[in-house]
Amino acid sequence: MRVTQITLDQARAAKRRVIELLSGSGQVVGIGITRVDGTYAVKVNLGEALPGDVRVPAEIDGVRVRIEVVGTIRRR
Amino acid sequence: MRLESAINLKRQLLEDLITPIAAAARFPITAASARDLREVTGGVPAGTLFGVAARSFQTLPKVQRSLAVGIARGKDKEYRLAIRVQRQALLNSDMVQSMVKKAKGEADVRLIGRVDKRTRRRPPRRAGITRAKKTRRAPVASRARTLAAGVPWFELQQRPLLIGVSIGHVDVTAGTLGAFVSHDGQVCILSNNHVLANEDRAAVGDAIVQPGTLDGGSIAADKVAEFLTAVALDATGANLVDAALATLDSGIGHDTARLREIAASTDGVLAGASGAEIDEGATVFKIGRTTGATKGRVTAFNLDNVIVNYDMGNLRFDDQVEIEGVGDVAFSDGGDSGSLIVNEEMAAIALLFAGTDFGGSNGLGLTYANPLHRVLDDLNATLLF
Repeated sequence: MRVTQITLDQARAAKRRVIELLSGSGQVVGIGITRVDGTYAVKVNLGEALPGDVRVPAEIDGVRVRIEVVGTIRRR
Repeated sequence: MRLESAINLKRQLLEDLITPIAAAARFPITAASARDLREVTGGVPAGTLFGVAARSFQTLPKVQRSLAVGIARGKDKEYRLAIRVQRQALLNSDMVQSMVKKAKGEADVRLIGRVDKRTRRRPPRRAGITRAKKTRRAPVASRARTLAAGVPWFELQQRPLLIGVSIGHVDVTAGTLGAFVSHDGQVCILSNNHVLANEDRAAVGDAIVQPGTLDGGSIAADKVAEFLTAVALDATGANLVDAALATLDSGIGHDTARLREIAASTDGVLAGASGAEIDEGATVFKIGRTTGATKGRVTAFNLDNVIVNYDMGNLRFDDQVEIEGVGDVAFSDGGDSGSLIVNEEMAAIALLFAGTDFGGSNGLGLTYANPLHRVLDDLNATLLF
């Protein structure tokens, strides 16, 4: 059971690290802030699954990273 | 069922249902053809069925997604009817249910959504504006059921103008009227650039029609505003908003605060722009041209590097808000662009502009929106309410 509460600033710092880590990955269609188990976390949206050799850590500096394949985003 | 029965049923359904829909769905849809479509589809409103994005008619595909039918293997040596649904709105429709009934329940129904060619996209063309050619309407299936289902209010002409109604640049299919704002002492309509400015292609003074052209709007009968200004879309750098203003024509009535049937079919009153930070988990509402009033939940914020597909190519947006539909509905669909998103206090928080067909906890897609304070700042506008 997770007890550590992540502040918004911590989540934003982790988000910057994730952006650096995934820069150049053509599959990324959004990196933002969400909540996992009630505390702030990083959300990575993918247009399609990452290639097998690209790994995203489940946590960065104690901040959880949630990955979702959302597909193509289109203007509505 | 036996293979022969499955083949015969498939052929019959193609002739009776699928072909008439495909034929009737040629654009531009008029109010009359929308009614005909409704008869063919068994009451699915054309606006829901054809939740096409607010986009230039010039680039609109001539054939719209609906259903595919085929044969699937059943148990043992039996066969079943395979129904592949390409639009969320059709999944639980009377039409699909009647197909399942005709197959006596021996049907395999799956939502497959959009099927893309697996090749690289051609670079987008940037051509001058030409009006979409009128196409002849095909006859409707003789056995089509007659239905009394009415066109929803947000797809019809509304005077006074209301938040949430169909609107658009005359060369654009249809989007949504987001809100009324004050800009340089004038009352303006707020929506997306791709709704009011046709992705940077509009000239100042171009006609804005309500309802939008896709819903039968014409300059002669439905012009309500003129394109004024837009935040230009940046094809190389990071965008923050997809937003534009149109000056309201004099004498056009408008209700700046009414949020018709926004929550639990009850009207709300716009409470201005929210001053609070957007946070995950917040309950939100919107009224849009295609899906009407829907309830959603913020799933992420401060989203950077959001890559969105436009006529002009893939554009990048930073600092965006992500929303999913609450319950068994998507928060938005094509045509809802420009919708104003409000919180539980009916204070405006964001301007809807993009979405996906899949994703979110209900699997029905995610919606993306620009924070409203940024939209208003960049357009030097104040929200009226």
